[in-house]
Order: sequence, then C-alpha cells, then structure tokens
Amino acid sequence: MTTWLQSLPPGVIMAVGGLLLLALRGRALQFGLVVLPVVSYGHLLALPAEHVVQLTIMGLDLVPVRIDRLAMVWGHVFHWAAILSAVYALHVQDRVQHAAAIAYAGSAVAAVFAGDLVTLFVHWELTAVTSVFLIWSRDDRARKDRDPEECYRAGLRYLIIQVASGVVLLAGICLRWADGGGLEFEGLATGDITSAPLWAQLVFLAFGIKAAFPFLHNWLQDAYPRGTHTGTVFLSAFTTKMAIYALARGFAGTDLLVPLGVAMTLFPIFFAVIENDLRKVLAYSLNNQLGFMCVGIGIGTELALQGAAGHAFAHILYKALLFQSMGAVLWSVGTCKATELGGLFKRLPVTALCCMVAAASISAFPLTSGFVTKSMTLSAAAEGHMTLVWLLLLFASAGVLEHSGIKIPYFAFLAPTKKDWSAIERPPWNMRAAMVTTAVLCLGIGVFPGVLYRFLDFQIEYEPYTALHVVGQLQLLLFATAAFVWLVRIGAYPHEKRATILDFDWIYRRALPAGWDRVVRRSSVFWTRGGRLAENARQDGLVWIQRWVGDGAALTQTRTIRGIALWVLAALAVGLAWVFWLH
Amino acid sequence: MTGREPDGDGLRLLVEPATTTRWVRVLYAVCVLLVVAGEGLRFFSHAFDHVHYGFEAWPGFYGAFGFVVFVFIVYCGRWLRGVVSRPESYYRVDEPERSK
Repeated sequence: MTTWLQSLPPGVIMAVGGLLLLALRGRALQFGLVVLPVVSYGHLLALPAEHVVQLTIMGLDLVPVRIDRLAMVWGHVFHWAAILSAVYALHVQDRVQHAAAIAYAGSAVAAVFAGDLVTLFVHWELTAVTSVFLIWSRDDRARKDRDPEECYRAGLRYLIIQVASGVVLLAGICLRWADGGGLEFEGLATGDITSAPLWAQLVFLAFGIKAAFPFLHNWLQDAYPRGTHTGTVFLSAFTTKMAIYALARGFAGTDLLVPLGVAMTLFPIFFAVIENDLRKVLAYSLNNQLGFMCVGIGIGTELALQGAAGHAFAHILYKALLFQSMGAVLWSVGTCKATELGGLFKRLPVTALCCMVAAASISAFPLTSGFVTKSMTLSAAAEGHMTLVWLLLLFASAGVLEHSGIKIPYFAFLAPTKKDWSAIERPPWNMRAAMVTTAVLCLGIGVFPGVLYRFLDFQIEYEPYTALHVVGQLQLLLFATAAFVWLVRIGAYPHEKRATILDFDWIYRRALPAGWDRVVRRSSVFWTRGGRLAENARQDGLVWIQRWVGDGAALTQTRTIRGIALWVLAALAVGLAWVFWLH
Repeated sequence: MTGREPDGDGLRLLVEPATTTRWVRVLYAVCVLLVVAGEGLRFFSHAFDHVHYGFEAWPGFYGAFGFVVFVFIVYCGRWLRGVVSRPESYYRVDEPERSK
C-alpha cells in the first residue's frame, strides 16, 4: 500500500520547507538550511527503487512521481549539491536568499522525478521564479563586483528568458494535448528533430533554452557571475543540469544534439580566454561542459547516455567546487576580476588547493572525477565512427584545460602580484568544510570509479584506466600546459584587461534597443503630422458621441420600463436568431 | 567567524622565481617521458591494437595535438579580443559611452 510519504514527490520537502525558512532567524535558520536537504534526501532514499504515483486532476492523467535509474542519478547528485551548498552558505544571515535557494533546489529535484509534462512544467517555472532571488539578493562581501542596478537588470533578463522557456514548454504541451497525444514525459522524439511534430520541436526548444544551446546561452554568462557568492554555487548545480536530464529523458538519440553539443563545447573556449571576470569564465566553462553532455545524449547509445549521466554527476560536483573557490575569493577580496587578483595562495591555501583539485577534475586529469566520466562520451563518439566529432571533442578537452584548468587557479592564486593580501579575512569554517568535502568527492570518484558506476547502477562495463588512455590524456594535458608556459615566457599569452566582452546578447541588449530608438526618432516627423490628423479625428469623434449620448440626445432620454424591455427583448431575439443561424 | 588557514608556504615553491625555471624543466622532462612511455606501450604491450583511429598510434599524437590546439586557442582569443572587447562600462546606461 502506498503511504502518504511514498506519494510525496521527492524534493517537495525542500520546495515547501524552503518557504518556512522565511520565518526563521539565527541558529534556527542555519539548522533549517542544512536539515531540509538532508531530510529530503532521506525521504528519497526511503522510496522504492522503481516507483510511480499517478493521479487525475481535471481530466489530466498526471504522474507527479516517477522514480527509476535515470532519475536517481540526478536525484542523488542534486541532493549532494544542495547539502554541500547549504553548508557552504551557513555563514550568510539572509532568510530570503536561503528560502529561495532551498525552494529552488527542491523544485529542481521534483522536476527530475516528474513523470508527466504538466508536472515538469510546474517545477520548471518554479526553479525560474525561486532562483532569481539568488541574483537579486544583497551581498555585502561582493560589492566591487555586484552593482545592485546591474544585478537587478541581469536578474530580470534571466527571469524573462527562464519563464519564456516555460511558456514555450507549455505551448508544446498544449499542442500535443490538442493533437490527442498524452502527457507522458518519456521518449518525446529521436533521430531527426526537424521532421518531428511541432509540439516536440517546441519542447526541444524549451529544454534547449535552459541547456544554453548556442545563441540561447547568454542568460548563463549574464546572470551567474552576478549571483551572490553563495547563490552562484546553487545556481551552477541545478537549472542547466535539469535541462540536460530533460533532454536525456525526452530526446535521447536526437541527431541535432550532436552538432549543437559540439558547438557548445567549442565557442565558449575562445570567449573564456579573454574574459576578465573569473566567475564569467566559469560560466563559459559550464556551457562548454554542457556541450559534452548534449553530444552524449545526441549519440544516444547506452555508453553515450551513461557517459552523459556520469559526466553530469561529476560535473555538478567539480563545477560547484570551482564556484565555491571563486565565492571564497569573492568573500575574502570582494572581487573575482583576474586583473585584481593573483598570489592568493599564501593567504588562502585551502581554497587554492581545492580550486586546483576542481581544475584538475574538469580538465580530466587521471585520478579525478572528470577522467572517469567525460571520456565515456569520447569513447562513444569513436565507437560510432564520428571522427570529426571525436577530434572536435578532443580539441575542446584541451580548451577546458586552458580556461578552467590553468586560467582560474593561475590568475586567482599563483600569478605574480604586488598586492599584499595579509590583511584580508579568510573564509569561514563552513565554506572551507564544504570545499574540502567536495574536493574529496572529486578525487574519490576519480580513484574509485567502479564505486560510482555501481552506485549509479550503470548497465555496461567501462574501464577508464587503460595504459593508453592514461598516457594519451596526460600527453594532451601536459603538452598543453607546456604550451601555456611557453606562451607566457615569450609574452604571447594575452594579459588580462578590464573590459566587456560582447557576445550574442549584444543583439538584445544594444542592437535591438538602439534600432528601436532609431525607428522611433526617424518616425517622429510622421508622428507629428499624424498627430494633427489624430487630434482632428478625436474632436470629430467627440461631436459624434455628443450627438448620440450627450444631454438631450436620443439614447440618453428617459424611457418607460416597457419600452426598455421591448428593446432588450428585440436584441435577445436577434442574438438568438444569429446563434441559431450559425449552427 | 573567519577561518584559521595555515599560511601557504608550501605552495610558494610553485611561483618563486628561483624555482619556477626548475618546475618548467620538470614539466618539459615529463612531456618527453610521456612520449617515451607512449612508444614503450607500442613495443611492450598491445595497447595500440585497440585504438579507434590509426592516427592515435602516431608517436606523440596526443601531445602534439594538445600543444598545437592550445596555441591555436590562445591566438584565436587574442584576435577575438580585438573584435569583441569594449570598455567595461559598455552596457551601463548612465555611462557616457552609451550616449555616443
């Protein structure tokens, strides 16, 4: 018999409980912040491995809970991320931010376990509405990097795009419903998406917006670097990976995902080289990593899909660790601009070491989590005889080393600087505890990959530690590092500069508003002449209205009740006749 | 509520001018050793029997690929900076650049 606890969707404890944090302060707030994700995870682990809850509301057959192997991969890691991020944020006394963060994490978990598209849509939108507060919230430790006005505007742009993704998803759901299709969230399309029905294309587009497809990606680089120093750690874990899950669930084997994913792995590399804000570099890096997962989902073989799932699992942890370490820098120094940093290793050695572990993991050095997960996607491409895709992914792997493996730790912690950091405050214990734990997980997964594969119930055998793989990967990464050293020594490596790097968002932030301004200005002459005509028309209209309903006019004279009833009766008769004629 | 981290004197070895040259030499030496190790795999094991592509078996393929790609990315980045870099205040509505 299904108990009420088994009917409760995973994540709802956080999504609803998060709102209760608004009523708490001090120790109680800290306690609630950590306990809610722990209780939610306990609830998930107590549920059966294969479990479905169905209900019918207003004629809609909904599946608010669907637990299976794929969803559990995200269920586990989303809870790990929520717990670690909550510990990382313990020192912050901001009820709104904490409530939003926990409700956001809970909504993302609930979305992953949604078995129908309507339930998915509800949680899809809830993640948007809750997460924006992590961008809008005040952060006194990051004043140099976070202008309140800019954060507000970035948050608005983020919210509009996220909600738009939900609206597109809803349009797809409605079209499918209107076509007589069901609401199941499973295997929506595969193969050629261009020949799929319109509803499937709309759902694909909605998922693509949140997965930061090329040209739909700018919300990520716009909003994430403007989050609070703890908020961005939450943001990095959930929204985009929820979209990756949705793609894996709905569009596995969709061909278009392969070129889209390859493009996503490539273009962020070049922007990351010249970006000065290290949290923005990480946002580009995130985009690049999502590309690997999209390629895996697009290839669609068992190895590729498990590679994408395993990569998402490892990525959430090492990306969170990178954002945690940059959050610690932001907390201590007040900025994450590379031009303002350097040499922090002496004052923040734990943070520096954790950052280096994360940098090694994302670069896929042996004995780290990236090595044992990302390579599955490359192997799947090779086994599918996709030579160009394989070469481009290898290219992107060297690019990852450039921006996340070298640039982040080097410019923050190792680069020569004349600044004296001895007076800066070191991050509080909870931030360091979260970072060290996440670093241990990154290394643990890398050293014992079999444990991860069994934990995630992978159905195929994959051995990452072959001599050729280890030597080849080390060659790729260390020769690329040698290239970095050589470029720095000959003075060819670009110096960091304070600048704004234009990306595709220039279209809607500058080009379209400027174009609209020009149209309005040029048409002012037209409006001046047109305005005169409009004024004349307005006065003529007033005279006409006065004639009918002004003092003493025909329609304003007092009539008998009998006369009014006759008029109403006549109008009803005409209306009824018209309806009868229509049918 | 600030933490008590130990000073990072151990990491100082990574960046002290006196030791960086030594580290760079170690890096170059490891690179050479990796190429030698790759060739060792060719002669003393069957590792290259199972490669997906023939060019993976070329001596130092992965190393050369990594080096060339890294240099290519950095030079592309330098070119891209000339195209898309603008003043930091570019998007701020109240800045003079906006009104020009």
